[in-house]
Amino acid sequence: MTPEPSERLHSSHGTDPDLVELVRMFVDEMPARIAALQAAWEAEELSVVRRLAHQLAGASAGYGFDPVGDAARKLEARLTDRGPAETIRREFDDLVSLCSKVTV
Amino acid sequence: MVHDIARPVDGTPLVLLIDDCPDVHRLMRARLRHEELELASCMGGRQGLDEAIRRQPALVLLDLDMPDLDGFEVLRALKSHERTMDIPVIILSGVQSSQDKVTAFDLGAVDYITKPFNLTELRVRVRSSLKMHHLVQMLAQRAQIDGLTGLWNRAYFDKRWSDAVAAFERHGRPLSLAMIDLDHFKAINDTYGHPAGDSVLQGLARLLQREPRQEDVACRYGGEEFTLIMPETTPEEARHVCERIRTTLHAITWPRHPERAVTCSVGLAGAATPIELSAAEWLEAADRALYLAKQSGRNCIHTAELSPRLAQAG
Repeated sequence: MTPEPSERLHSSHGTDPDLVELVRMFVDEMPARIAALQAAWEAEELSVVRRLAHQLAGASAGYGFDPVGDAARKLEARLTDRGPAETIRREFDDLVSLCSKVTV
Repeated sequence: MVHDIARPVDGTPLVLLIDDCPDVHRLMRARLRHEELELASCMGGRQGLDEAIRRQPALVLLDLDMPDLDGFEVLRALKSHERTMDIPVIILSGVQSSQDKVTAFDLGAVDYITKPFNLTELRVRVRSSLKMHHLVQMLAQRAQIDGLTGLWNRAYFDKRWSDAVAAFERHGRPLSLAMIDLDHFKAINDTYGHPAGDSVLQGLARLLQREPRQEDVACRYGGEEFTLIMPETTPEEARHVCERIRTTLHAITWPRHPERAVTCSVGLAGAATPIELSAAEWLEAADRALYLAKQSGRNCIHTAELSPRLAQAG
């Protein structure tokens, strides 16, 4: 499951002594978050997807994963505005793909 | 309110974080690890509101977007509750809408931090809010302290005395009140000048802070008149305390007028068992006792006779 080196997304706080433990924890928990996102998606529970995206939006940049935060925020906004299904689908996939690349 | 202000202003400030996202709590804890503060966590708006009312933190960090009770509603509730209205609130939000910021400030937020937090900015804003809160609390406390003597002033006494009588009615524990008045104070002022009069006021104030116990509350009631609230104290015990104050004051040699001793008269009103008296009536009883002490030659203590509550008497 470990992404190829070129595919990895490193935390910009990976060397911050105050945060390194937390970043590691966030990375360790990521598979569970991805599973929760996908389960909610498949059950078509978009309000749950939106909440999970909201939490990722708030947290990811805090852990030094700005691209994940940006993608999550985009998806959250799209779900809030009830954007076109195609766009939502694409942005959901983008988010999951970015999530699967995080590493310390 | 009185007790809140009377709570020491020093000590580690409590910061309450209200956010539904566990990550924000972890990150905030890590980010503020080296700050001099205690961080408490609430995961929802409703719980956060209850916790703020109960613990009265020095600062609230409040998320806007929460499922149970959104940040604006929490903010509105905090600002309308007597126990929390003066607590500074910093809004945390990922939403970068200027309308939200305007709404937050309109509702009484002191500041706004956008997630993800910039570390330096977060620390500076938290520090600045805590400092402001500390200063405001200090000013509020100062406003209740008499400038000359450092004792609590009349405004504080009025509130504290009603609280003491209310607690007495609730718990039925003894309570005593003394009114202490310097004898012939005007003559001291006229003969030796106002600085000498001020020294005498300060001298008695020092005694009132030193002689009673920790839980007693000494106030400058006005002019040369002082009050001493003595919770958990029977009239007999209170009389001992006042007797010590009276004799110690009498024995002081004053640098500005060593030839002239200063004395005080004391009116005492206390009860060891429930009585039917309002705070104002109780105070009047102590005042009447003081008058009688003055009538019977000054430099003495007169204790008021308070009749026990009728229901208890039979």
